[in-house]
Amino acid sequence: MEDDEKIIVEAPGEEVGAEVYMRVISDVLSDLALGRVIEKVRVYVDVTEPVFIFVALRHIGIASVHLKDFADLEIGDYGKHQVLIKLNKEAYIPQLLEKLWERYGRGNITHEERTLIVVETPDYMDEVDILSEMIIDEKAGEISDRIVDAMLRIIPEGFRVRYHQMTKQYILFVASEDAIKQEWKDRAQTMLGTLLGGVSSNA
Amino acid sequence: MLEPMMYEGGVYKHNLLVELVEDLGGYILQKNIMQTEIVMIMLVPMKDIHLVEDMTKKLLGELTRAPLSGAEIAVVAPTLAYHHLPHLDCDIAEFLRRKGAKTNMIGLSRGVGSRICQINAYERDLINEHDIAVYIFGNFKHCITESKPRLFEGIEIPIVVTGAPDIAPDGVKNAEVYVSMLGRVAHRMRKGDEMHAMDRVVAEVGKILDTLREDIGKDQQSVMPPRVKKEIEDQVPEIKKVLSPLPITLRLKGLKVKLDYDEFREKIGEVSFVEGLKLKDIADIRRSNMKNFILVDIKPKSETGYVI
Repeated sequence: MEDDEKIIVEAPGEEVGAEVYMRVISDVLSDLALGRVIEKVRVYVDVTEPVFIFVALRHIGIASVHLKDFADLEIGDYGKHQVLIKLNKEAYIPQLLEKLWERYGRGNITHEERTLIVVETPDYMDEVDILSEMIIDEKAGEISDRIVDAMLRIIPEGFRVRYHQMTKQYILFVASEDAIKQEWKDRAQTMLGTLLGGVSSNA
Repeated sequence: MLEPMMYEGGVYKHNLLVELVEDLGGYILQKNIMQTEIVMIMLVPMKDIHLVEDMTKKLLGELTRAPLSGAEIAVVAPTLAYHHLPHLDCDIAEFLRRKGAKTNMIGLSRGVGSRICQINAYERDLINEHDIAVYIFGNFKHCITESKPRLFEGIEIPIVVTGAPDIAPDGVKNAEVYVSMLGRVAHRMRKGDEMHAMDRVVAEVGKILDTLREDIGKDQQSVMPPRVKKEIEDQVPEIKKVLSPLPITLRLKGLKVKLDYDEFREKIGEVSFVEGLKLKDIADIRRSNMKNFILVDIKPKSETGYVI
């Protein structure tokens, strides 16, 4: 069924243009490794206006990495106000140190052994729990940056007036050379509505 | 009549071929050595081609016609952003180069958009220094036929346009020819139909060059550009120190010498021929818009009264 296709480009009177644009979108998404992040794409282009509308659904549920995912946390020895972070993976150390420095100050963080970080804090009992839930690497944020990059590559270069909405669920872009008209925004919302409706009925 | 040919083969003993071509009265235009391989673009007198063919066979090389040799072509993109580069434009430029042309890629500063695109005087003059301009446009017919032709304003050389949609070859105003199937893409051109489309561009450019050569032939040039190239190489030693690719680039109407205009203008003008003439007598020497290089436009016989 046509509605199930991943990328659909609609361009009245420009069938070849629509087909080639579909390939451009698919190339850009695969170049930026967004193929699995973007679920469905609907595009409407009218070069006579000129307007470019892009609506896409995102896959939800890309997990962020918490500290507890790659480290064991303990409180320090008796009498010491410390939290010990024993790392099982070294990959996230730079991000983790940034976050710890920000929260506790550089002077309170000791990282003498490769897999052990000591945090000096008076509230060590509470901080153990807070730390274990700390988000170290936010995949979603990085992916959002990539999506914006992809959008800027896909939209025709001259279309520098833009209106956009970006949530965890969808992306909506309207671009033109002229001021954005309300009817284009409405059209984008309708396209988004259809897309969202289609997904919820499938679920 | 000289025929542009391309030789591809090993470096070993290639000097025999160079000597043969020069003895026959031909010219070596370009010589690229890549480790043990060599590619040479040369002009060979038509009646002696069989001698060059025999030599090529002996050297186990390959000889093909290079119809675009001796021409400088501008490949024009609306901008240099990733919307237009690198894939399609570079692939087309590469295809033209393989057939012997010298290409320059030109990205416009404000060529984007349908209503807002424009070209400035500097870009226009720069493009006009070439023999042909190949404009690479996008995917929408309306854009190509209605908006983008604004970028042709003031261009006096023949224009070839490429784009994705099907439009008649003469469907773009002020362009000589339009070639379809080459729109905006974000991948290297590898598929069969894409390669065919690029071959079509090369063929169309070749046709236009043939017509231009015919036109020039009707009122012969006072001296052939390759001969001027050889004389400059012999008489202006500084040209050997130029690091740019092709220090002397041939154009249909003359040459581009990659030396500073202010410093070398007079020296180039003083280049002399055995017939007793100087280059400034039979050519206009002017400043190029590209890096202050020197442009030599050879005058036709109707203007000077003789051919050497």
